[in-house]
Amino acid sequence: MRRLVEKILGLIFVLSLVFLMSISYGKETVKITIWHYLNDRDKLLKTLAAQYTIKTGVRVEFQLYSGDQMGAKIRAAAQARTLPDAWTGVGLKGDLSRLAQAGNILNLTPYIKDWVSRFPENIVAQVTFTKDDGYNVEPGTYGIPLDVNNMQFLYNKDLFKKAGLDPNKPPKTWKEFIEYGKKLKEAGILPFATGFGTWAGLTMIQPYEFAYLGEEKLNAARLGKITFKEAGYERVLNLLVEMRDAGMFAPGTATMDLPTAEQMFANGQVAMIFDGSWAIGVFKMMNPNFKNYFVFFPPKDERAPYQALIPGGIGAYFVVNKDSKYIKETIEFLKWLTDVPQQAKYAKESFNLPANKNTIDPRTLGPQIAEFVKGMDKVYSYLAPFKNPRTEEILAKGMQLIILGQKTCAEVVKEMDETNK
Amino acid sequence: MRKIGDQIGSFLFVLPALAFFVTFSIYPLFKTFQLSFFQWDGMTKNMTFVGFQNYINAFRDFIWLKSLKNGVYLAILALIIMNSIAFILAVLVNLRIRCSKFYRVVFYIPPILSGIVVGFIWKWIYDPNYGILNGILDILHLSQFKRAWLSDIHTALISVSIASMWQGVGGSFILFLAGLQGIPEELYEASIVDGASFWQQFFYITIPLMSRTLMIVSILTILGAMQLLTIVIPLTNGGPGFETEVPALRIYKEAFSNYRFGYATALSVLLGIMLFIISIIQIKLRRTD
Repeated sequence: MRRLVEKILGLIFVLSLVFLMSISYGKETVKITIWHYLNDRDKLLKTLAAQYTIKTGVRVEFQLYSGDQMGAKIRAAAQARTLPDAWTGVGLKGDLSRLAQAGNILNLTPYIKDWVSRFPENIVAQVTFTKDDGYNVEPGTYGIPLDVNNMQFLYNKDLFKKAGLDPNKPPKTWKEFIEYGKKLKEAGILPFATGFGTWAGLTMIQPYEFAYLGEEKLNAARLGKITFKEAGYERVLNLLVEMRDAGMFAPGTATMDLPTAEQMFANGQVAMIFDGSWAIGVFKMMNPNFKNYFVFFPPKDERAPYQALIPGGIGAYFVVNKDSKYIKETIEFLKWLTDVPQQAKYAKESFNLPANKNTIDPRTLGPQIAEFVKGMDKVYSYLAPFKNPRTEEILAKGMQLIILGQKTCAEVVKEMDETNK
Repeated sequence: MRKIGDQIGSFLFVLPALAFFVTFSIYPLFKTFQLSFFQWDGMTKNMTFVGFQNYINAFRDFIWLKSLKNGVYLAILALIIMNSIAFILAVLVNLRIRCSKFYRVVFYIPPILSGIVVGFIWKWIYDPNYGILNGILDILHLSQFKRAWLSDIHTALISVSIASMWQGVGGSFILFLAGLQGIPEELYEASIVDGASFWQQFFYITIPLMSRTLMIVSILTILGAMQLLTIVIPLTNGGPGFETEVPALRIYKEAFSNYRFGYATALSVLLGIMLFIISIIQIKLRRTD
């Protein structure tokens, strides 16, 4: 009897397994996986994904990874052929071109030609390759923008007031910027911090690269057509010396990462930071009570002959895996995600500038975001890659050592020229 | 026939583990060596054979040489300071002091933490603006010693070393403790009968019988120090400048940031050969003793 019962139970178990397997086999659910590094927008993206699932039945899973390691993760996944259906792009054309050459990302041009006009042309241009742009990639658009941004200086109005500075008059010239730094230091306030330990430090000097060298000479130097010495790059690095000598850098700035600098700024521990428009959402997350801060364009240096241009343009954007099983569904989701209602929600809840130009309404944006919007027409359109990618590392490390007083500008420029061959 | 059958049977049992070992150890080893002769960005299909050029470039690369120097510095500090502390702790715990079981657990917590976690913990400790180290110096009225520990070129590497040794001391401690507990009690009892003091027991019984364990711990310490990576990334990312650049970090950056995969594999081959030679020398020295 007992054996009979055991046999019956075993049979029921096996039949149940077969039944469950046949259900899952018979009905294939479309599930799209998207990797991203937007930690302050993870919840929002998942909410939007859930809305899309209810609307269409297509499941979308956003997986969050660290921004600093995302590039390495993508490269490793590309080699192992385990890339997800889509992911937020890291870097711009330099990094994107390698993925395109390796056949990892989809040329989106035929898929988005009917709706790409919702994005500003100069934004789309940042993820579009052309025939003679030096990147050796099949011409086309390889990214779908989610938001746009630019990077400028931000300052704490309360700390300015405490130092005896007018909180409504941020520095307009480089000379003023240094003077303000000295006054803040005298008042016992840390004047400035940003992520010199990472890529953010490089972006801080970019406006002055354009201001001192001009677009043509700067790009020629990066491409190795002229040396950085010939281009006069020392003058750009000398600005760090001036900041250092004025005591502007908070302790630890040389190796600081951007999140640490942002935390210090949000906590009112440092008066000024160089950061992107996305930082508005980051500050709100770090310190919801921190509101009395504002934005200013990189102060004009009278010694520089050209107009300063700021880093920015396309912010977060998506690329699609060329080998994805659900290319059509992925692009449909991204089209929905960048449509006006979703972009409006995105802008409202994340404090980021939406890529869809039909969504930007300065009247509904906060004062800081509105100020960043004004800078969008001063974003540079093209920055050439370094001839040798290692030059960027030499520059970043060189800047750290200049800040610490361990190297001169001339020494760093010499190393850059030796590397960029 | 039966013997052949037994051998085939044994081979079949070993086959899965052998396949795993070949796939994940032997094949990557050969592939790494092969790639080291190519210039390759790690992404595209363009691979250019460059012969030994990557190896030649390594000997001219000031950043790589600096990273090796830093690695050796970290290894020497770990060998002397970390292992001394671990050994003393093991001897004390082996004396069956009160709460020795508790200490055994507590000392082993740091090694089981992820390197990234350890890096972030020490980053907060070292923070120049609100870290507890500078805070303690303030409390002790030693503010003149406050530093930006990780940004100062004079203190960055030693700061990284301290964080690394804090994590590593538990691993050495456990091995030393196991070694000490393997020494027969009778030897100590016999020495007491012969009138040996504590220090005589230590130098004439403990140290000689611990020589094999000391050798193993030394090899593991050097290997660990020269392959340090996950602590350095959150702490300093090799900065300021290249002051805390370590070999594994250099290999990682060349491969994944500078798109020089072929060169990175050459560096990893060189590092592997160096560590192999150091390990062989240590084993031979012990045999000579």
